[in-house]
Amino acid sequence: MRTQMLPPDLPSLNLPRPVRAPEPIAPPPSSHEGQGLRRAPTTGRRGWLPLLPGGGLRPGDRAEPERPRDPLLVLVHRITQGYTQEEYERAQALGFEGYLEEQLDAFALDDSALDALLAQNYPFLAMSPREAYDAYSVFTNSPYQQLKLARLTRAVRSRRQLLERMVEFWNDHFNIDHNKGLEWLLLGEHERTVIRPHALGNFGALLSATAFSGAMLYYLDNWLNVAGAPQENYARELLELHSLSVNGGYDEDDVEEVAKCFTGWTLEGDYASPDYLRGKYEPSYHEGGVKKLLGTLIPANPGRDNAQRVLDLVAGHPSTARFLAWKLLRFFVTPNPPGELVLQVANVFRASGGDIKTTLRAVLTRENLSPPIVAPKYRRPMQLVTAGLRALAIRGRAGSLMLEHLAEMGQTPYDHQAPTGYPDTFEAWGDGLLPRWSFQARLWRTDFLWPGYGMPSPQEMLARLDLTDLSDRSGLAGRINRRLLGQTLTHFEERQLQGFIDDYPRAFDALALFDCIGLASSLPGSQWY
Amino acid sequence: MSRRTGPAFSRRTLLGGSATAAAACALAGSSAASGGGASRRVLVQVFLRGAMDGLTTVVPHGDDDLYGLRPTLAVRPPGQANGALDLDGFFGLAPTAAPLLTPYGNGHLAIVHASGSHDPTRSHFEAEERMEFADIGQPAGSITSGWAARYLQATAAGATAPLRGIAVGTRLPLTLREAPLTLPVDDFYVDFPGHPFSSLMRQRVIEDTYARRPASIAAPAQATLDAFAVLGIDTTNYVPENGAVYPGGQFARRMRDVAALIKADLGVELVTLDVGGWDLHANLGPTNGDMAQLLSALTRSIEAFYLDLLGLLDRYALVVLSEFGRHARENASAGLDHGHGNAMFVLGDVAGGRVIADWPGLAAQDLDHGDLAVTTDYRDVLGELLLERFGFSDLATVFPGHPYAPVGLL
Repeated sequence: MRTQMLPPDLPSLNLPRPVRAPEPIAPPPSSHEGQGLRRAPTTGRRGWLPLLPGGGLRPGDRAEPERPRDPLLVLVHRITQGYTQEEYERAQALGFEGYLEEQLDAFALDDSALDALLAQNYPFLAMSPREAYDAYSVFTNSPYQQLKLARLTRAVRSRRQLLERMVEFWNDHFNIDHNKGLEWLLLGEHERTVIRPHALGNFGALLSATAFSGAMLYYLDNWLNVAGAPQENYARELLELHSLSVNGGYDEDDVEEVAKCFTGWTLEGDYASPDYLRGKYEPSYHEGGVKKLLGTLIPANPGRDNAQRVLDLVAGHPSTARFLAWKLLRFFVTPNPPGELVLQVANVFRASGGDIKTTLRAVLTRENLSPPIVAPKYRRPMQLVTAGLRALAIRGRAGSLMLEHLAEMGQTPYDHQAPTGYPDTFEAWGDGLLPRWSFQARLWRTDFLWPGYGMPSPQEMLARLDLTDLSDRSGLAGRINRRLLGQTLTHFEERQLQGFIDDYPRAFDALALFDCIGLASSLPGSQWY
Repeated sequence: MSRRTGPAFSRRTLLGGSATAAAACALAGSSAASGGGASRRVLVQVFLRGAMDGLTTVVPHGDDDLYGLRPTLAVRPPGQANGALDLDGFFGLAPTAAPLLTPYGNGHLAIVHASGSHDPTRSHFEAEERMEFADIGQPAGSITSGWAARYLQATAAGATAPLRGIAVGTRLPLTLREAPLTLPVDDFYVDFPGHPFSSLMRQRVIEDTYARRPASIAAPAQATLDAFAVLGIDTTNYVPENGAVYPGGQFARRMRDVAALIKADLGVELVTLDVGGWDLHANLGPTNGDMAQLLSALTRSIEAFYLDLLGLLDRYALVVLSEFGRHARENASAGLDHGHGNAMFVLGDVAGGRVIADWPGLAAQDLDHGDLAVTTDYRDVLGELLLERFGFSDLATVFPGHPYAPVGLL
């Protein structure tokens, strides 16, 4: 597969040249009416919310576990990549606010041991695009493989669990597919310098960092956006997916104006430069003239600042606040966030100037994580795999077999082709049970060799279930449910699991124990969190 | 569906035709044996995600305005270097779409140009949703299912197969949202995972616990369990017929698997496949770049599928469509931005060998906001197929609010 990764025009990139002389821009019309231009529907079919139909379960559905769960337990489920008894006990010791604040202050948590392990195994993560290009021939794992395995291992083992959740969230929100061309060189630096530092920072700063990131400039073609005939791919997705949302109040003229503002933002094509393939501004590609976005005039000069003016306008727009509030509530709290709550969180977002931590404090409240607001979230494949590996408590690195299972389930990092990112609804994933069951059965087979994972011994697993041996199996299903799964199984499911344990068709040894855990993880309750 | 009680039968025998399929169903203890969906026609939808450029794939070389709009990107007229492959004196195929000439020449491929959805949006995701739900003009949120799902719902009475729809891949597209007995499947040989000695007991616990949950998860769980009983197609050792040669790549492999599925005659009625990569805002490469390669992989796969099933034209109909076309005028990065009207393809026992088009023209005044206009509604193409080839007349259920007007495909 290596040949596929070889970029076509390296090391000297063929940067675009304006093919037509920039035409003088006529003053923008005072009104869009009568211009014969197509307009995006301003009266949204679904209001301003970019709701996929249904949004959650179908009418009359009640798929939530029957057990009431205390808000702290829900918090542990929602802000981690999977429940562990250790995490829950620590959260209990810190209390709801204490635990949340610990996780919000992510960089105060020492993750140096994991960082060192990843740096040793995945050197690509620390490289600039130029360094990655030069190192290409000596990599034992492809850059993309390194990036994915590091993501997965961090998600499972990092102490900064909420940060990893936000990395997942923003990587979907600002989706980049690695398959298009050069992204394989650019994504390491993108995740390291754009997504991670800002994931719990300020939204405006994050939006700007993504806009000028080489990876985004490449993925959405803005590096080719030059004066004369602007290239609107990035402009459209900026408005539709990154900020205002599809019915957020912009029209086709706004898309074109944003594209003009972003002309000239391209990639450094000079291999001799240390900034090779990083974003840069090239004045000769910029389309001059006054632009107008959402009714606001953007002065012609300095042209370099046009793009930042756009970003500031859309980052502070009320539609962006509502869109992000809705999306964060859906990600953490409920598939169908109530309208008042969305507005409340949107107001917090705006009042804080787009501060992500402040906004998350308004999302992750005891009240929001309690009935009637909180509702079960269906696990996406990534959450299923990380939760499984966390329940297994691996001490090493996730291996490529996990990526194969993720691919079978349809969610490997940086593999979503369309800029929407992976969907976050039950409807999108609810039919794909077969590869989920396959994954669980595979994960919990102790007769299977897992080199590098650092699998727990049967004795360790017994200790985590608070057992010394398997002579007394009564109540084992309950122990699995409480101590490994975080009470996700219903009473009925726990009883059925206990029945399976009681009637196990062979001697009940360690292999049988793992078989039971695998089954428990395949039951309906384990599909939600 | 009754629970399976014995060890799995050897499902590799399935690939023999309806008789063995029925026998297999009987072995599986399934009510599907009592008639099955055996020999129902299979509707195959290939959705080109990202907006395939119909003006490249099916070039209106007889429309001079094309060459003014696309001085560098338009495929040149027939007879010139890298020119179009003429179809009817006005339209031609892009050179790398040449494999389509095989079914076209035999009269088994119809092309419908200037077709698509009338929804004005140029957003991929809005357009796909409107097209797949087929809810244009309906009150917002009143329709939550895909058009193909409604077709399967409306024909549920006569269907007895345990698996009626398959989305080849990992997720159901919106086309199949809420479809009964429908699953995403990417490997047509499936076995219940895990230790064989506990397999049946585990299946029983899974069956019992999922059955206690709402239908939205209980139904796919039961369908998945039932699929183990019928989906045993040995695609690894499958040998295509009639000299069909599938190219490499995921789409070709999936088309080959679908051909094997159709031959296995398991009663599956609806199959969807997605092909991405068409959103070529830059460096389109109509004859030697990205677009050319995408077209080559697509059309070689379709040609192989067609040849493979040459004797079974009455057993399927294949439709190729995309959410919208691309802008009529090329942009400065040698690419094309989002557009409107597009070309659709229908393969099977249709009156093919024709490009059906109420051609709107490409002159400035004829364009729809700079794009090829839509003069044929995609719902009429699908509707005509459902009516004439699937014997389904309740089109108002599948395409609500749309007055059906035949396209003349058949």
